[in-house]
Amino acid sequence: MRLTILGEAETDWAEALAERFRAAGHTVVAGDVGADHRPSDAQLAEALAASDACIDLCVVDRARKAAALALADRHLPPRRPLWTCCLATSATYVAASVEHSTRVFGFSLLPPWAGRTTVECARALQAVDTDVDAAADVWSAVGLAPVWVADGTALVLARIVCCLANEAAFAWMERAAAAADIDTAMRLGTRYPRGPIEWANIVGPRVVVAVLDALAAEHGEDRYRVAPLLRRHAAAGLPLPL
Amino acid sequence: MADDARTAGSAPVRIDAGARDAAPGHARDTDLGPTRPIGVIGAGTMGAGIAQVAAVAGHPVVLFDVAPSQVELALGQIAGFLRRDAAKGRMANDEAERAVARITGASTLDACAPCALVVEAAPERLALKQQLFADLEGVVAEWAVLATNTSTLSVAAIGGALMRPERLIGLHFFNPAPLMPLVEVIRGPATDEGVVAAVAALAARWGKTPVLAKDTPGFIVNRVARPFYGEALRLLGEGTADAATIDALVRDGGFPMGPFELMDLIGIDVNYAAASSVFEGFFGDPRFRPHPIQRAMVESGRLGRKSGRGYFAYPA
Repeated sequence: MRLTILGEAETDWAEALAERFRAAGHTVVAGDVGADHRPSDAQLAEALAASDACIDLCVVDRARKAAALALADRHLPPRRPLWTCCLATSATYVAASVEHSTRVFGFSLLPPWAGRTTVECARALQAVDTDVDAAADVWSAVGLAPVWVADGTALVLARIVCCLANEAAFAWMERAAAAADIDTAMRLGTRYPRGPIEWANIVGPRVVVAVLDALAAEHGEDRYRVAPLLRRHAAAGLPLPL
Repeated sequence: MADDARTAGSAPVRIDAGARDAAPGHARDTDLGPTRPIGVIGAGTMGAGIAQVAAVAGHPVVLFDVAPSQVELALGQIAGFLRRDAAKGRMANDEAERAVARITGASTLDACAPCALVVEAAPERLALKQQLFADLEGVVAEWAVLATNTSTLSVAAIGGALMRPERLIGLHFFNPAPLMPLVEVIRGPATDEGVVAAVAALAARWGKTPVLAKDTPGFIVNRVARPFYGEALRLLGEGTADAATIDALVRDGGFPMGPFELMDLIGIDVNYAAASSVFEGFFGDPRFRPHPIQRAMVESGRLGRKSGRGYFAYPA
């Protein structure tokens, strides 16, 4: 399988996912659209034209995501699936922004990826039913079983984990407990695999904020308002201190 | 903050007897060392578990309940658990028998008179707990420490009627107390820092990991965990996926159980009560709003494993 993965400088996810595909024997070109380093946009366009599928991994930078989707929409041959990371959007919203809307599918794969056996998948409302199974072959190629859920911002695990991280950040900001004690309490009191603050740092505070802002925009509910201290750390490009 | 507990060690900690009614400079040392008697109020699952933990750590324990039959039941269960642990090689036979012998049942509060620490694990009713602690103040020594195992009520509210609220602290164990390593140590607005340090050090000696928390709704775990259930319920309600699929995706993310199977295990009524309590405690902040599905489940008697039906079916 030939694949093009488009990412953003905020995360190293594109290259990490590319390595996983390469290890499974697939040919992958990965890069950040608009970045001033190789591969250039022209090289990415050339790779897209020869690809069986494209994965867009942009989350935080909306302008970068729009540019990546425009590039993929223009150069990926018709009927080849365009998988868009819907941590901070939905497949349907992305499909509505491109010309070839029927081949857009959403996915969510929250880090860390080690040990994961499934990937959350959602078809855009504009997707064509007959293309669904073939599109999912992309994930099967790296041992991830697609689990189809209805489309929506962040899908399942990311929505739950980012809200946990946000509540932990609120508790820390309000001095309900020290950050390290909050993580310890959630690991030992509920057997979570890691503390929510540690998880926020693994995912990246800017990604967590992007997910919560997108949930707030989609649902119009105050329950997704971001803890100010989390937002400030994201703005500063700093991890939450543990 | 956990460092406070580690550095406190096992030395007696000085407790300020309180500014309200103690003469200036009047302070006493309290000793929560391993030979000091511990009182446990309430012989339900949590009270029995706490009594077992204290007895295994070497303390003489008074286990009180207003119902003598409940005390007898709890004593039998504790003996059973400890002897089973011994049979499985987790502890020596004589060690188990000594721990069993350290626990005395009681149905009058007077039996708690010699206790250096009394841990209350009574039902979650504020008036009941306030009355219990008011009664205990007339029984125990003035230097004794009083602790509440409340998971949802405010330590400030429980201690509001006390003569010496500075010696009241939250000590929140997780069920089952003998197995779960975490203890939340909750500092009320009046709690003396010496009491905080002494109780955190005691919890550490009992083999627990104490974490210090402020007296805010849900403390740490019952607050921070709310989105685990709340968002899962919203995903279900919005039709994103069914309960089994959501559980499977959450487990694949590394959680040992999905939110719906966990609610079934905890009891959907218990989980709903905790959600409602935190929601109320934060004056209706939408982050904590329970979901109509929860109420419908409770009202229809689908309480989880204990009723045979919850989000999943549990045939008898």
